[in-house]
Amino acid sequence: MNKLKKILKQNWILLLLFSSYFVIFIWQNQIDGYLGNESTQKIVGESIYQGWLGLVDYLSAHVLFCLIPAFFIAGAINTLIDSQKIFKYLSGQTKKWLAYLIASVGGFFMEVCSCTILPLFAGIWKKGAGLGIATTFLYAGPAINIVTFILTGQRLGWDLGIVRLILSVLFSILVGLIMEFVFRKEKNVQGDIVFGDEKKISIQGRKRKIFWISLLAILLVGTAPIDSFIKYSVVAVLVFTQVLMTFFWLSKQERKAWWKETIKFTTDIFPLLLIGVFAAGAITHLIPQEKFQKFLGQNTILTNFVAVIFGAIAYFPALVEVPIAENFLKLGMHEGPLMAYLLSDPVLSLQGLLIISKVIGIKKTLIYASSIVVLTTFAGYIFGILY
Amino acid sequence: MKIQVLGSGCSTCKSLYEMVQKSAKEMGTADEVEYITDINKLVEEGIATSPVLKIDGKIVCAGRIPSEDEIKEYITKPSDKNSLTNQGCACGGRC
Repeated sequence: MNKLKKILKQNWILLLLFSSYFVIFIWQNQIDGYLGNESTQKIVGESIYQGWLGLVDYLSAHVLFCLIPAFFIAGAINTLIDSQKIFKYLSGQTKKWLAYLIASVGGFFMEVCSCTILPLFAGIWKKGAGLGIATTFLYAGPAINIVTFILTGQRLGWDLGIVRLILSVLFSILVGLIMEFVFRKEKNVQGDIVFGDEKKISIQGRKRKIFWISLLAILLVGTAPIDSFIKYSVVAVLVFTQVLMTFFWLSKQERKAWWKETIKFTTDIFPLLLIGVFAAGAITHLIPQEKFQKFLGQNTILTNFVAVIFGAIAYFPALVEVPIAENFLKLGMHEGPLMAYLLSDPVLSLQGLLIISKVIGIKKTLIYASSIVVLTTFAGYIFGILY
Repeated sequence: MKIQVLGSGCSTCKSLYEMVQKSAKEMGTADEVEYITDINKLVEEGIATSPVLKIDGKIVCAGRIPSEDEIKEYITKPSDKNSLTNQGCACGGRC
């Protein structure tokens, strides 16, 4: 009995997800009819109805098919890749261009959480590869990860998703180079750095390749715009082989850690995301569309700047910027400022800057923040012209 | 014996601190567990990960949360870094 309780406690998010999915799947029409009913709308309000519509949209199959595999991949990245080995490239002995590349693209292959990112940043800056590469790493960490990329692509279109990803990588390097150039006179003392303990991972070589390719294939097929019968059958086969691989190749500890990490990601991110979706839908309804569109429907330096500053002031949980952006798009925001907002929101928040400034001081923080503001504003503007 | 937990002050290292405190109490170790969250102190010691468990000035575990048994083992016989279990950061991306 206690064991059951424990399992329920650990996996409540999955139960909640499946049961809400079930409820929506079976009773969607009835609930829609009830909420869409004029007299009900007078009571519960049109904006709650709009929030509900947003929720239904996010709990539908195509979103779950991309988000759930993405959470599993993020969990696997966190437990089945020895990221400590990658961090060692940033300790100072590596060639500069390679270190920049690893620091920027690395964000995609290593899930770094905000509690490890700050010590890592400080360590790389003071005792490792230096301020530039540390900054690149600091920028790339929250901006570039698989879940963000997948959700942006799925909800806002793959063109926006890919541009967002490429620009984030590029800007992480650019901001790093700017910081290195501005503070080129400061020298860091290279020394021994303590990274986390190395992990022993049981899949190596060819097995590792097959494991990861098949894991990514689930995501790719699941999000591909193909006939749903073919899609679901292929996904089913892939999931089945993945489960077999997991049981034959991974150790019990690794399986457990992977599962735990995936659940943790889902528990941490999904409820906040759903609340964000609901709130965004509800609030959007209250914004006067005409005024909004008249101003932010244009692609000018000013509107891009406003979008960036909005991203800095509004502190949304991870991923919630996507449903927010979606509603902005519905209200008629131009793609230029939208891109500027998407680029700046994860890397630029007042709270984040405050924490960083405690480590690197106010002067460096100001240069860091202003170079992000300038780069993202102009990137949005240029994207808006080309789009 | 000197027991220290170092970290960035997030929920992960706080839970390690609480675990170590509990284990030390259970084992009857009279020493206080020191909890250091000053990032500059971490940099000084060249620690670029969180959380870190130090016993008698020796790092016994870095960048992960060990199990309770492991912690007890570390307290009875502090050895050098070794990784028994294989857990990622326990915070799941947002802490």
